[in-house]
Amino acid sequence: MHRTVSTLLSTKSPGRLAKLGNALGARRIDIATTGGAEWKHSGPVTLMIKDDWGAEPKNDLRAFADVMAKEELPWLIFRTVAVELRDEPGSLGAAATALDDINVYAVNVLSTDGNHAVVGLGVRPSQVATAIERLSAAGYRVHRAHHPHEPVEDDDSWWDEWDDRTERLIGLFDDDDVSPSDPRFYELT
Amino acid sequence: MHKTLSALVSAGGSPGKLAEFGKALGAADLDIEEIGGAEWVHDGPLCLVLREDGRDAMDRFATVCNDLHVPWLSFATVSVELNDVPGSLGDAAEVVGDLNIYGVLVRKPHGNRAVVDLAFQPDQADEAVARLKDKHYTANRKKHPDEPDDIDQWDERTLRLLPLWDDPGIDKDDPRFWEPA
Repeated sequence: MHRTVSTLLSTKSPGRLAKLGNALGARRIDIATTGGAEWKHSGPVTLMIKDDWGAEPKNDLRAFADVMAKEELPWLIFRTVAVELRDEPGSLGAAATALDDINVYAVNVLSTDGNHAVVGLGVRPSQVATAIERLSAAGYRVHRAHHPHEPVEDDDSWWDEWDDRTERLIGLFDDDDVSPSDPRFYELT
Repeated sequence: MHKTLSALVSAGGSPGKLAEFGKALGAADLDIEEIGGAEWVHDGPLCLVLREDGRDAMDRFATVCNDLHVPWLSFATVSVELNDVPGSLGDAAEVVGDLNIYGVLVRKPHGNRAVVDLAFQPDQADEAVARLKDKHYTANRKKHPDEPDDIDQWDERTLRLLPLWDDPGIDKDDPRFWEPA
């Protein structure tokens, strides 16, 4: 299934977005969508990599990890749950409410069509199934965002080493002694 | 012109803040046209564009942020058309040079092109457009149908508060970022 990357792209100096964009471009890594902002010269940018499924070299995740290690940019990758929302005030808030205690680590608009929008919510790999259950129970049309070439599986056969990495590192978010730019968030293991 | 809003919704972070913020915007009849963002170590601003962000709507947005103590700033939106090829966003960002990009959102992907909205300081938007056009990009300030492109009270607020970002003694959620002026 498709993933949503969260990168801590510090923008303390102009040009950081250009630097990351050029580095990804040099490795021929194509971005499907991106969004984000900075606050006090720091802020995560979320992005979806177009080819993030299958075996290398078709799958760009390893190349992406190489770029982030070289640029020393922290990153984690979440799984994308795609939910269809009516294009009206409060619809995103209502969907987020349905998720209850599941944290949304990233949000992006994946597509718009008339008075509906498909919004991608980045959640922990271990919470994908529960997120879908809760949104479905609340009456939403929701599914795991699949790569176009990926077979649609109902089980968790999509789980891979990058999901292990996220689940291993996400606990560091709660450790006050761990810097937001701790090398573990970008070093290759 | 349309503004790009940067709102530090998840300061201190916990599940539920996106829900609380989204519902409050809905209660204020504010419709989100575009949104993107992530959090990192339980912090992270949302980047969003409201479908209607004229004077009345901005007043309501400011009230929501004040009620919820959500720090926010508004930036000028420049739309640039990019080819859907690796490196295109990096190339465009490089063209604007020393103008800082405060937010980025992909809008209207169609075929092998996409319109990307970049957020700039209100007083740097025209220069950003000029630099992009000089390199043959199709770029424009994102126009609001009923509002002029002149600097308004919210732009003045941004220009007044933005220097606080450079002061390490000022918290990211300093009340000045959400209290009425």
